[in-house]
Amino acid sequence: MTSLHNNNKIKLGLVIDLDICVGCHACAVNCKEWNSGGHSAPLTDLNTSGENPDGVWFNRVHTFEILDEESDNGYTLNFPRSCLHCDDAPCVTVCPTGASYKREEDGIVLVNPDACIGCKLCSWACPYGAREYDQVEKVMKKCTLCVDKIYNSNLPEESRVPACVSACPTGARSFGDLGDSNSEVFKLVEERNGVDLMPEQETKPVNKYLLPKRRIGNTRNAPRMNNFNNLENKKLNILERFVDKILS
Amino acid sequence: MHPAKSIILFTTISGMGYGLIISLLIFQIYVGHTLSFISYFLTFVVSMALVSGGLLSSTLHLGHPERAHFALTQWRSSWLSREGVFAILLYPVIAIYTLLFYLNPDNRSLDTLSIIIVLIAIATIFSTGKIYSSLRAIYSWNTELTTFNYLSIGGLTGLMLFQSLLLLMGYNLANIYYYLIILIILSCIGKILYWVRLDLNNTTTNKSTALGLKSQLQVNLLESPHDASNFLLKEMGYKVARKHSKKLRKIALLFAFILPLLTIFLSIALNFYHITILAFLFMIMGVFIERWLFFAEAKHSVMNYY
Repeated sequence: MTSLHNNNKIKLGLVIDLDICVGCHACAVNCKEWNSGGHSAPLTDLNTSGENPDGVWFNRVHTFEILDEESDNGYTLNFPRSCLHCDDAPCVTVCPTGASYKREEDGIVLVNPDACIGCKLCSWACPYGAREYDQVEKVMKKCTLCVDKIYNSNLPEESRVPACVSACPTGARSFGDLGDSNSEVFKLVEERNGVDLMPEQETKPVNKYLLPKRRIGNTRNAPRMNNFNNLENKKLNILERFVDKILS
Repeated sequence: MHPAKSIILFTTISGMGYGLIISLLIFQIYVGHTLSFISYFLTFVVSMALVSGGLLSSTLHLGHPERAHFALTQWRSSWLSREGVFAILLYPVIAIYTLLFYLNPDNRSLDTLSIIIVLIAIATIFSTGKIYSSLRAIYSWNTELTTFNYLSIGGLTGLMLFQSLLLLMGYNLANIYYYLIILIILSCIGKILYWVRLDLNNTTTNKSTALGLKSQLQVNLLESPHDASNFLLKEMGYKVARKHSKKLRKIALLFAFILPLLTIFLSIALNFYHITILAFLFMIMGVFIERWLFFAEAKHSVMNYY
């Protein structure tokens, strides 16, 4: 059923601390490894050793340069992007077949690959780009929050967390019930003022992000990145100036 | 957004087909179901071919066309599902109308059936428009102007085709020209307003909100997650049109609305109505460009991450 159940009591999700994420991509790689054999397997790869490799990933790590022009401060932000298991998931309500659904018991958003017709409308509806189309299986795939790992009683209890959480070497990723005000993840979000991504899209994401803390000291005098694309920023010697003049 | 040929074809062709059905049946009510059965049937076949061709084209772009019937189940929440339900519903109703009309053109229930068919056809185009206008992630589509554009252009192209078919079948009804002119002006205004709103770019989603940052800071992508392209960039990252969009918009307006309008005025002035068929051909070209731009110009919020 692609109508949403209101008020999931249990809201399983992730809290991602951007203050300590080092952008190592371990979460993305371990996600790929686990899910290649998991609920939505396979995560098809195409042309793996060719010029334009392509494939399905549930987690992608971007690195941004953030500049605050007013205070002339800048910092690097590593940003893992995956499904936020939104409370008001637009990807679920647009699905015409009922393949896309949000579980009532824990709020995980999943795709039933046997009912998906591959119309891709859910990938248009998701503002975060959390859904990827498998060109070989011809169905939509997405983060399952490792539904086949977190409930797996064959695993030791400490391993019953999503693969991305297991892999993170800095502990930047926490997993838990964000609907429970006594849970550690809930308290973490409270304490650090965790934020929603694109709150104006009104998707009510379950996953929260913790922004970098204010840096101690002044970063104003920290060396800024050189802009190697712009010759004028560099000091040119006479020969270089001559060549530049002839060529331009 | 990537402008897939199958969806462009589906939305234009089927919109025109539904517009033709609407024009045909309103006309039938207007003239008291006195169109000759042969003329009715020919128009009916053309409209069914357009509508079904469009539906087939949109089904073919699915990953699993053999499961398409599942898409009729979620009409409670999904506009795509509603569109499918209305599209399927039209077939039996119009089949009954055609049969009753064939048996007895004086049948009193024909008026009621016509109204039902017109409403189903309008609901189908409305649902198509809603599929796009309800997507908050795509600012350019997320407006009721989108739904209005789909309805007005569907109705306009359908009426234009109806007029051309009537002329080819030897009918000439000056009244239709007034409705055509009104529809051309309405559609043109609707499309211009759509573009004005698009250029205002009043979206609150930007690179800062995408990262959850409180204030708007300068955000530059330093390292992409991957060197090569991926599904998201291929599906949502289409940028070709934006470079030439202003020129293409003018071409679309010229062919879809201005040239047809001038041709219609000319045909009235010269009292030579057959050149309105030329107006139809202009319009088709213009609407294809308009629809291509509709997709190619649309920017998806995920591109804030790239």
